[in-house]
Amino acid sequence: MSRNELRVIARIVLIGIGLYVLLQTVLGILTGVLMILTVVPADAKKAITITAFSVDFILALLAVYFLARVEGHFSAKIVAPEPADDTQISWIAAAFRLVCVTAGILFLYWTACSSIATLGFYISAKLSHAMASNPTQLWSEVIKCVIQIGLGIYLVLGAPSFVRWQVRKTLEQCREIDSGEPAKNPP
Amino acid sequence: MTRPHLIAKLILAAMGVYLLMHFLGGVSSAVVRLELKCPPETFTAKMLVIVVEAVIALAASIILLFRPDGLARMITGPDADQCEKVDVRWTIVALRITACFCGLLILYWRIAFLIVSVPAIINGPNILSYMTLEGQSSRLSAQTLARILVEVTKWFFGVYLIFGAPHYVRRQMLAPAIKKQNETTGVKKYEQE
Repeated sequence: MSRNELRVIARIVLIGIGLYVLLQTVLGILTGVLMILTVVPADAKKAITITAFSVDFILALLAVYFLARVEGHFSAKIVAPEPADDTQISWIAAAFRLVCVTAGILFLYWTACSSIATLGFYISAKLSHAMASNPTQLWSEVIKCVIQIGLGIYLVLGAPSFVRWQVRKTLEQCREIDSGEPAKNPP
Repeated sequence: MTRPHLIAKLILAAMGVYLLMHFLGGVSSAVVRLELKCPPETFTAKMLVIVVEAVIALAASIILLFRPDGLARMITGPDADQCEKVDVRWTIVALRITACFCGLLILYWRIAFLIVSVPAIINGPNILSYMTLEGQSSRLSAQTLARILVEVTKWFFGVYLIFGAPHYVRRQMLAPAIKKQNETTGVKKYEQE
């Protein structure tokens, strides 16, 4: 597989994620509007829900804009130019990097959505009251968000050490299978 | 193996992982049902549905993960056999990438378990109740332990997949060669007899 092909695949995946984010948000907003019209009675809760959905929508638009603007830079970064004699390692690393970046963008998007929902819940239930009644749960939520965001950022940056380790292990396994294991280890 | 076969196999393997997680979720739901103590008539029906669903999910995941060739051939159709063959290295990398992606997703969705286990370790005696998201309750039942076991299995599974599922990939790559070798030795033995 040539570098150009990999770059096209990277571009398709990144644009696909952008469309997924936009679609999810539009569907979320439609559900939210229906919920506001039918279920949520109090005005304060309405305001919070509307604000949460607006922030959600702005985040999604920013994500799509970001992906559209830097997609070329991203795909070039994912399929980094390598020395001519290192093409095999290059495409294996590029494939793993693409998976990591895809997972990272999805994790950041999902974390942003769930954090907004949780924050909305705590604001509506009054933060101090929620902290007094169940501080462990609140801190668990905060730590969970921090870890998820950290993981997402690391993956979006291409998870260099993880990709390097995976490439080394993959090449080791390729060599092992090439060296004719079946004769040594019958089932 | 041709390229369409490989793509079909990868999709089937990912579906297999999803169904395996669904099976573990089913086990967890069954345990919760046991704890809830519903009225006997609804309890039996609900448990039956959960158990049947879990058994189907487990059977389907085993087929999708370990015997996907027939299904992949059925999906791709006879024309796929005429496509160009994929390099062995590509197959290994593709299987490892699929495993890695599935593992990342599993760990992301099960991260809550890790987080709730932190206060559990600090709080000591309530460790198991915290780990099952039951708050301050100090009741330690067999159901609680079963739920922890399910969570730990999911984590173990996620970590194994992130490592690229080396044993699974080796098995997938070597299975056709072993089969061929066995067939050849079988024919040779038959000829000798």
